[in-house]
Amino acid sequence: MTEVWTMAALWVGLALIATLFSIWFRIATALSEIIVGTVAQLIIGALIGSAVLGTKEPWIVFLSGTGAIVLTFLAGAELDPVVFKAKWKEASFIGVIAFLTPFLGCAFVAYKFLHWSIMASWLAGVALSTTSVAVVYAVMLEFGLNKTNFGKAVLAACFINDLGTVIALGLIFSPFTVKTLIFVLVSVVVFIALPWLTPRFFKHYGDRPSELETKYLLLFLFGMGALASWAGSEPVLPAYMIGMVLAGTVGRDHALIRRLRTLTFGLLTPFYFIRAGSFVSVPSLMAAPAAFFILFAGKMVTKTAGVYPATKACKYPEKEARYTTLLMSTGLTFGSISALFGLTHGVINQAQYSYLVAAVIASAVIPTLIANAWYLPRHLIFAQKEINLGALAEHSVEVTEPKKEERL
Amino acid sequence: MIQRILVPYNGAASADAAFNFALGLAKTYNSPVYVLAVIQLAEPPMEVETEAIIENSTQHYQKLFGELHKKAQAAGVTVHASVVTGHPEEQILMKAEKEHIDVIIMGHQTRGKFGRWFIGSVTDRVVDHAQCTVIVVKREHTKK
Repeated sequence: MTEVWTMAALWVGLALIATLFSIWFRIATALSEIIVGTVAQLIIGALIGSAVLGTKEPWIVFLSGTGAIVLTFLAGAELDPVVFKAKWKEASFIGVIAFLTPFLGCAFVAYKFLHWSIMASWLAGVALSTTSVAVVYAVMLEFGLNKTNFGKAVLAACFINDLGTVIALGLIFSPFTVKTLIFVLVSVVVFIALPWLTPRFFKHYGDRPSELETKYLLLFLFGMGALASWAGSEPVLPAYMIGMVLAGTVGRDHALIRRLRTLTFGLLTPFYFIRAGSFVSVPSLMAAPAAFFILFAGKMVTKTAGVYPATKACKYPEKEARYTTLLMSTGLTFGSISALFGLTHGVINQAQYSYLVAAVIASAVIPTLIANAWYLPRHLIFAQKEINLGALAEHSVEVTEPKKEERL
Repeated sequence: MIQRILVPYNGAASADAAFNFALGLAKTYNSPVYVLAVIQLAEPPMEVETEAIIENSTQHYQKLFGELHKKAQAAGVTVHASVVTGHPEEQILMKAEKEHIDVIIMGHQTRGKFGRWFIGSVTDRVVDHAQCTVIVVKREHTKK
């Protein structure tokens, strides 16, 4: 056991360093953990040997996989069902196109220009088809656009976009046997039953120190993850779906969500993101940077080709159309999950994984900077009467009567 | 005549000094004080983490605002406190414009050379771009 505890101390130490960097430089913890994982593997690999990190140890693989599953569940639970119901037509139209064009386009780019295999090209398409709901939400929140019809529709479209990504990841690489059919049928039953069963079960047995709610959720996440894995699919697919169907119930229980976040950020996701970072090969990136640029450009061009005409079809004015296009070109969480799936399932090699992760990280940062610098639709912020959408961008907390925080 | 005062607030000692200075000025001119706390998200924002930062920071500022409210009550000054999310300088300037603020009173930031280069100074940017007067209060001000 000494070896296990030593390795655990090493990983948690790296997680602590990553968290400190994220505080000092105000960057996302996940991004910091990916970078720390890459650098640690580079330094430790050169000095002692790459086996020291033990990235293929079963318990590290388990913690890392659980991190991806719970993080994906929580991301799905951030959906606001009320907004989604109100805007589902527009959101579905933009979201499906925002997924399909980069998915098909980037797969084509990887196949045609980088000469990747067919399956590797599909994987590139999946990893680069994502949109970062968090990036879009943060920018919308900053400028109050989350309260506008425009903002609500774009946010809902992001969930549809990511749903397309996890479905593609879960089904494209699946062998399509009877097992797949069983997985799909059981999933449908579970997704229908959970929103009815969960609040009733929690009402009778929940709210006790024994953390029954967490065990209940983990049971379904692990159970459906096992079924997905047995069918040759990916466990994050049912996790995201369970999050979405429980968004109106579990997603509203802030105390429970906070406890799950503690578990996720405190223990699970550091293992996931550091492990994801440790597989990035800096020498491969240095040797062929063009592959990274081609993939990044591929995502930008294909997102623009899909989202821009879709927003124009929804009669968005020019500036909102450009702004939406740039915001929906972002992506990090599901992009990195897809890339790691490809690497661990032998769909892509380490060099291809490195190019994809680099392109995914660039796509999370660069479009947001461009969108805010040049295309922010400022008239939506100040001209409240023109759009008849209420107050300015305020996540307001009055001293005497604090408002509840908004959810996605 | 000063009719509306804005104090950007982050809980630091320098922000407390700015708030105390603002209370004195508000009492003199019988004007309300707008306190604004800005939650700055990590870049790039991540799923789940963003929501966690907003929730934790909102709770943190609610507690701090309680203290400010007591101080303001003792001084007989009306305080409107709010929390927003975004880049501090942009949110401060937007708030000043929205509330027709006459003077922004800010604490002086002390940051190392690297910090100034990497993150920059919010105070510098607000002084540069604000339409109204900006007063920068040194932390040592309260000691004098």
